Amino acid sequence: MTLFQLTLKNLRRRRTRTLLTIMGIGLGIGAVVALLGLAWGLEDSWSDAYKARKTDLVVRRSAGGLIAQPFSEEITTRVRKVPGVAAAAGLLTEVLSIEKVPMMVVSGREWGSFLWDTLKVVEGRLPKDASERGVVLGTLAAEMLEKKPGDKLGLEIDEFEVLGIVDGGAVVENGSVIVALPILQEMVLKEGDINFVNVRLNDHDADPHTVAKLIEKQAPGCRVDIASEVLSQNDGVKTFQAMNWGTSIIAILVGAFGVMNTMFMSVFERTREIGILLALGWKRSRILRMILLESVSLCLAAGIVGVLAGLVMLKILEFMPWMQGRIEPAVSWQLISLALGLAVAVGLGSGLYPALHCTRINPSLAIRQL
Amino acid sequence: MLPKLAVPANRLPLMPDAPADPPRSEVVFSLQDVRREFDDGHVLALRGVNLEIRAGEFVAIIGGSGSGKSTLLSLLGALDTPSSGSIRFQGKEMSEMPDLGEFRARHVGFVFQSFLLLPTLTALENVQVPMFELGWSRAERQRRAGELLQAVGMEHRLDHMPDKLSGGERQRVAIARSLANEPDILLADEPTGNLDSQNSVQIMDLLCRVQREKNTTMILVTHDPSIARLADRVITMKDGQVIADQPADRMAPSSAGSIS
Ligand SMILES: Nc1ncnc2c1ncn2[C@@H]1O[C@H](COP(=O)(O)OP(=O)(O)OP(=O)(O)O)[C@@H](O)[C@H]1O
Ligand SMILES: [Mg+2]
Repeated sequence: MTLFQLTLKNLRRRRTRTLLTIMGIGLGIGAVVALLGLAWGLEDSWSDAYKARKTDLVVRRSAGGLIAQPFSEEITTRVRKVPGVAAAAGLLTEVLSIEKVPMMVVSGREWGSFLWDTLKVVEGRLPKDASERGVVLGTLAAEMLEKKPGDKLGLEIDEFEVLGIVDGGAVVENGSVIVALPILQEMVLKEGDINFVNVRLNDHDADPHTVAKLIEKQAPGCRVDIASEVLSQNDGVKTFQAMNWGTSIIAILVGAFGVMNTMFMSVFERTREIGILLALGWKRSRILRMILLESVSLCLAAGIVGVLAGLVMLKILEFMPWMQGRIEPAVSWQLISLALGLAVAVGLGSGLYPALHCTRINPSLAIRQL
Repeated sequence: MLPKLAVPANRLPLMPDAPADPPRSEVVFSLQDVRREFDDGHVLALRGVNLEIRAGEFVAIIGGSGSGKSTLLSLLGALDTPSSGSIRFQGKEMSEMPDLGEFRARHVGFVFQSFLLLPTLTALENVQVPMFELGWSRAERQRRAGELLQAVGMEHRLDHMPDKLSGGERQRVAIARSLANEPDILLADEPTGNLDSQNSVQIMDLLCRVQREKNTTMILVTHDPSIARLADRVITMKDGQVIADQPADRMAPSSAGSIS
């Protein structure tokens, strides 16, 4: 018999209570897994999208939250002249409600720029020129809108023909409606405006950070981010992440108090047994370890339950209509080990107080208890 | 199995005048004016106890209910600390010991009236509990626990839970457990108090055998004069004080029980 086996026996004797406690803290950990899976998924999805577009740097207005503020398309021309820049493409990105889909990314792309080169035509064709009044749909967008080439698509007050369906190589790309820049500018009354410039660097000689600095000099009021970091640098996303953490921490705290309560009940009803252990020569440090081990085992079991629950939640979310084409949840070993590490931390944290209480038990009084 | 030791000369049953100057062994416990109060001094469980107990002695403590016998035993086993006065173990002041757990783990074995086995552990596991602090391997613990249970005649109940054992069987397991750390002091608080007379005889036989074979210092609380008579020395308590301390064979004959 080992200390760990003793621990398991103790947890098994009140199965229902143990299970309910595991559910409580497990839900908290599940929430963390789901929320972080989403948040990290959001970041990954966008960094994948930029990778698919072969974009290295992103220029946008330094002010503004989740929705990027517009600026003049002149900036694109200036960016192109910066040493180290291989190509630059102006974009106007809007989130619009289209037919029965409440939120769709509509991406107006500078005609002739590299942003059109990375789109693989699956069905139909791309527009003939910048002025053709038609759209192409990413594969997921086509599915969500239930359109095929030749169909009509109502966009704001106009109707456009679906010219083709494209595979952009990333979820965000495939979830978008893509049009030539002037058409979107006219439609949303932002003529001459863009809200992003995507920059591709010269392969060899360009250090992204140096080039970013140079671009910022040429484009006053704008900031330049490395493509893979755009999302994490965004204030809106930072707020979203903070809210996620806030919610998760509350869920974890609720669970942690549940664990503490359970551990307290468990040691109170075992006061006499702990007195016996002390009488039999157990050191107080061993009692402390036993209680902490119980609490950590409880939480680790909850961690496993929580990870599974979180993964199930993410799978369900993935198939929700408002999630499709926007975020692909990121499930990584990093996320799972973070969740389990959190579980262990909660176990130690909530077990400590009950365990310390045990070390103060007077064995003679404890043994007298009925 | 417990080794069969020769019975020490001063315990031979038919030795005439046994108490007359036997070679005296070292003092294990020495108590001076030991007091124990409860409830802020409203209850005086012990009011000035002075005692000396020597190595290898078998001491019985008798006395009415509430006279402080269990309280005294708790203090000797370091389960509790006195409100005032001094208890020395082998000359060392116990209140100055850095770790009383260490003292219990190395020196003391307990047997209680209500057995106090851990309910979630099998007999074999219960016996292993005191061995955790002794640095023995898991296999070693298991082997020794098996041997101890065999020595108390419980080898056929190794994997039984305490609630599946009879009272006498539980006390045998508890005795095996009290011997698990090879203690030099055995403290027993009414070990036969919950047993019928037949089981009482068997349990007392077992305790006396262990005490003799290992020359353990045994201090045993009992209500039963016929059990007290098995001891070398009987201490009588009343109202938290020792009122008599004499060799067992000087005890007034009693009609109670006919043990041994
Ligand atoms: N924790 C405590 N709080 C208050 N009073 C206590 C406590 N422990 C013991 N006492 C009191 O101290 C006195 C001595 O108790 P103790 O248990 O030592 O008696 P005892 O001689 O063992 O009696 P019995 O033969 O009935 O077991 C009793 O009056 C008891 O009520
Ligand atoms: Mg008592």
